Amino acid sequence: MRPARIAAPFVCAGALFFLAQPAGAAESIGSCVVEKIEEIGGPEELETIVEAGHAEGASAEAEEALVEVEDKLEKECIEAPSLIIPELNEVIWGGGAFLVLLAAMIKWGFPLVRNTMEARTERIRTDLQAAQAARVEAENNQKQLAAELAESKANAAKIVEQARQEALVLSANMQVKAEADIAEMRQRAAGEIESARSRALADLQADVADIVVGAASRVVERNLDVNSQRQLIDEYIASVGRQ
Amino acid sequence: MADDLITSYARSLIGVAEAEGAVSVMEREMAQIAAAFNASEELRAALADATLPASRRQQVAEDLLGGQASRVTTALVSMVIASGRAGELGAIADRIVQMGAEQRGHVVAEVRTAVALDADQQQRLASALSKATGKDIELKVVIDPSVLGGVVTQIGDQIIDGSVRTRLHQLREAF
Repeated sequence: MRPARIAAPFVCAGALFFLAQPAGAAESIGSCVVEKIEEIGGPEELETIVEAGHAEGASAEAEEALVEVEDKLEKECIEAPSLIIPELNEVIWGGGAFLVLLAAMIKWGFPLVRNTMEARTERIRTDLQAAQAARVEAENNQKQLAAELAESKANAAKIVEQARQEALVLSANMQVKAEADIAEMRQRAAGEIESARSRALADLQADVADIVVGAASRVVERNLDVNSQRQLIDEYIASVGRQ
Repeated sequence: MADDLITSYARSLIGVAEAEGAVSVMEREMAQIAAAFNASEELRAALADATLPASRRQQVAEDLLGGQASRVTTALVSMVIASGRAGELGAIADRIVQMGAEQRGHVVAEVRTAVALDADQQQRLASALSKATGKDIELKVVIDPSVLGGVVTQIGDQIIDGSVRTRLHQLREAF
């Protein structure tokens, strides 16, 4: 719709211009020719001059008269108008068309162009602002990402450092625990050795005691005759009697 | 339950002996039977062997006691075996001795020695034990070779140990 409204004044002005120029030119050449023919003496006189000039054996005067007529018509009527100074009717029609076109342009064209330009300017401004905002946002995002990246790097470094510290602590604890375990194992082994030694010594003592007591028992049994038995029983009776 | 069973058997046998007028003889012989029974694993196994018929085991007991125990004692032992209580014969005999002594107001002292005590030793030991405990004592002598020498006396829960075996144990513990 808008391009049609913009193109309409230009179409009208162009039509006026091209229709007006041929009409003005035709009137100017025709009237000039008619006027010059009348000045020569009318069409009959013109025809006579032409025939006399073209006839065989024409006199120099006839030929000169024909050349004079042709030059007169050609130079005064058919000769092209000035390339710089337009004809008056062209100036009038062209000026009128220009004014119509100018008025149409002032009425409809310029506002449309201005509005279009303003709209375009506004759109460009909006786009530029949006682009600026986007750029600012992108910069902010980039800054935020950079900050987050830096924070992430800092956190990663912190985590790595913390892990390293924990590893050191864990290693130290493991070393302490290993040393404690070794000490405990040594102590336990020493205890077991001592216990085994005590058991072996106790077993040895028990074996020695069994051997000694067994030997003593056999000696006693061999030596316990009837008299000894009687003596033991009498001693027992006596001891019971003393209680 | 087993203790009540043994007491019932002992009371019944005492009743039979009283009816026959042979309580004292039966008690004395039962004391000897208890000592022999408790001392001989072979005798206990033979009399309590369930694979042998009761009549066979009765015959073994009667053969062992024949001529050495009274008729009443032999019959009572045979009856216990026939009742299937040969395994408790020693405990029943001990209970008979104990109940007889209690009936007379005496306390039974089980005396274990490696060799038999003569009558004088038994009398002196009974007197010494009565003096030491303040009770009338009846001895139940058990020949126990493991004593080795000396005497071990048990009166109820009280034990007076003067055996060589115990002295050797004490020596063993001293190491």
